[in-house]
Amino acid sequence: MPGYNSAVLQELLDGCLRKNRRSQELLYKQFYGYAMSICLRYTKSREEGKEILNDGFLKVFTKLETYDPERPFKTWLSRIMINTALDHYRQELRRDVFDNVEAGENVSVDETVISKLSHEELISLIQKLTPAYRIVFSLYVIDGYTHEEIADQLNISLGASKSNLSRAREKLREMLSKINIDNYDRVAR
Amino acid sequence: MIELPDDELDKLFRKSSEEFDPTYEPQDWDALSKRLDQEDGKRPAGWWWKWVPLGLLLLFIPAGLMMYYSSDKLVADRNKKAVSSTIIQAEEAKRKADITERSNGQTAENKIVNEETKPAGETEKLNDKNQMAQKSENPVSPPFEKNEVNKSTKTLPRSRSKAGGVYLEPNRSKREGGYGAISFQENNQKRNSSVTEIIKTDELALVRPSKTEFTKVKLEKSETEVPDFYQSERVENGIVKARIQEENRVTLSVVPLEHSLYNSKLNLPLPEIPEQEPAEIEQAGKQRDLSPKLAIRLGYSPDLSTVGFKNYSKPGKAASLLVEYAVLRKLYIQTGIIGSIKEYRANAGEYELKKYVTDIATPSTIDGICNMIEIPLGVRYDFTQTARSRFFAGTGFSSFYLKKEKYTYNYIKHVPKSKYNWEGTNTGLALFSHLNLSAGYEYRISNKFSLLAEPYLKVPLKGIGYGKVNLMTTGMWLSVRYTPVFK
Repeated sequence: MPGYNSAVLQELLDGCLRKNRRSQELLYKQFYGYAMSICLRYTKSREEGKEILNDGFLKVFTKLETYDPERPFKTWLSRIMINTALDHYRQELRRDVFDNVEAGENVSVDETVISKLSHEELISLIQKLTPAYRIVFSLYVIDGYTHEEIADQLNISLGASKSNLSRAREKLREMLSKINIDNYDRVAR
Repeated sequence: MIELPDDELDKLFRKSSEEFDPTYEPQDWDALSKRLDQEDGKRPAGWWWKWVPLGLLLLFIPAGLMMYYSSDKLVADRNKKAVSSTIIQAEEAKRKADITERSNGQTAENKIVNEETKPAGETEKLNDKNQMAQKSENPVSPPFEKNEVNKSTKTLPRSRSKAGGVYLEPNRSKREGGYGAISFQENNQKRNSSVTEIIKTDELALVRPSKTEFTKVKLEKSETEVPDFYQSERVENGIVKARIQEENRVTLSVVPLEHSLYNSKLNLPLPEIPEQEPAEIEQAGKQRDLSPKLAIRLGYSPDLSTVGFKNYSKPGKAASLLVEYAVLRKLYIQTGIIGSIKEYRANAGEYELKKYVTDIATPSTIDGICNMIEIPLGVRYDFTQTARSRFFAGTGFSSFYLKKEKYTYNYIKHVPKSKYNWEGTNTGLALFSHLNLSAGYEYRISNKFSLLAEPYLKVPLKGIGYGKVNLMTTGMWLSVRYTPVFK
């Protein structure tokens, strides 16, 4: 028995291999939060995230035979979710439906305000980035991809990957500063 | 106010991403579950479909029985109303011949007087009816046996009403909606009333139904009296002249064509009609219609396959083209071709698994989907044969040719490098591998076409396919049967 997965998880995976609907539901429930958090930072809304989440889980249930149980299931699941999100991004890119986010004012950020922001609010800031910035930022900063891997995955140059990352950081700072100003104004009144 | 460096910014968002845990929404699973059902090829409420054959069976058989018995009851009721217990006894009629001979003379005279005094229109009607009688094929109704009365008065479509010499409302002219085959009764007052001769005796009332024979009519109220529905006109020499109300008109409206009234006094030409025994005609019709030598059946059935009546999966489907040949009137030989897709799940122990599978791990269950061609050879016996319906049973053997097999191996626990599936085509022929048992109901919708519902069971005699599995199949054929007519 591989050490990465608990006995309960292994039982669920076996049930999923037999296409047992109850096991599939339990697995879905157990990893819903984890998988959804991945999907949300690669998409602009919860609806879009849900679509990618279910696409990803469909792959999990239909391709479970290819999962190597000697590796952690979470890692395999996150790879599937990220790949599904990237597929989705490529499809959107072909349709050229992306729009740009207005840049915020160039101001400094108050740490105390930032610390009060919830995880959901911070994720929503990532969602506000343009798709190209969002994808590169998520891949590099959160999911640990290198610029070479990103360039390869997105079929862009290494320089474009670095540039997108830099601009993504800049945009996030701007947004955080805007939140800071709004909160300052609210307190001042 | 401070500037946020890159690493701090990254750390902030990385931490949020790792700790962010969106709340579970059940409707997300519902959406995925539907997609998984589509992916698995399952229909919504798949469990319901498993019971469709049984449901149809429960529907068809009682409906068939109801139709079968209700039609008999209907005929019996009509006979009762129309005939009012008519019994024909030729011997009795001969015994009474002397009485009637004496009566005939006087009655004929009376009738001639009536005819001569009739208005011109009435005489024309009579002539019309006589001509119609000449055109008709079998205008003379034969004497009936008691048990044949029901059959002969069975309702027939107007287009087929001449079959076996049976006429609907023979004493009404075609103008009036009848066939006008044997109507020579007086019709002197009301349009729908008729008059006939009734000879009153101690026990019976006699009427002249055909030629020289008399019909003994069993009276309803009293055996020695003419019933109330005859409005008695007069009694002369034992002959009661009675008017019969409309509802009883058909029963007693028969006067022989050879009556002296017509052939001696009026010199009306009598039709020369070869006499034929209606029973023979009817029998010949039955032989042709009910027992055609050859028939072709096209059928569809849901296919529920299982190993040992357990682990039913979703129903497969089967289509058949069968040929039936009658070796006896009720016994047919059947053969043909059946194409089927069988889906089933069985325990691993019920298969002969290859070593390369079990060496790594033994599956707990195996799901199979097989495309098969089946050649059945069997017999069918009709327990009941009526004009419209039959109940039958069949038995025989089937041989299977497996065109395609696909197996999915299910494991309780995953073992690396386990075999998860196997697929193969044209994987073998199994001769006489199954015993077929069936029973069914057939309902004729026309001379050539009938509909059948036939539940069946295929019992395995040996294992078939790659895994040599003893596959039992049940279902219900819903077929159209075509009986070509050869001249």
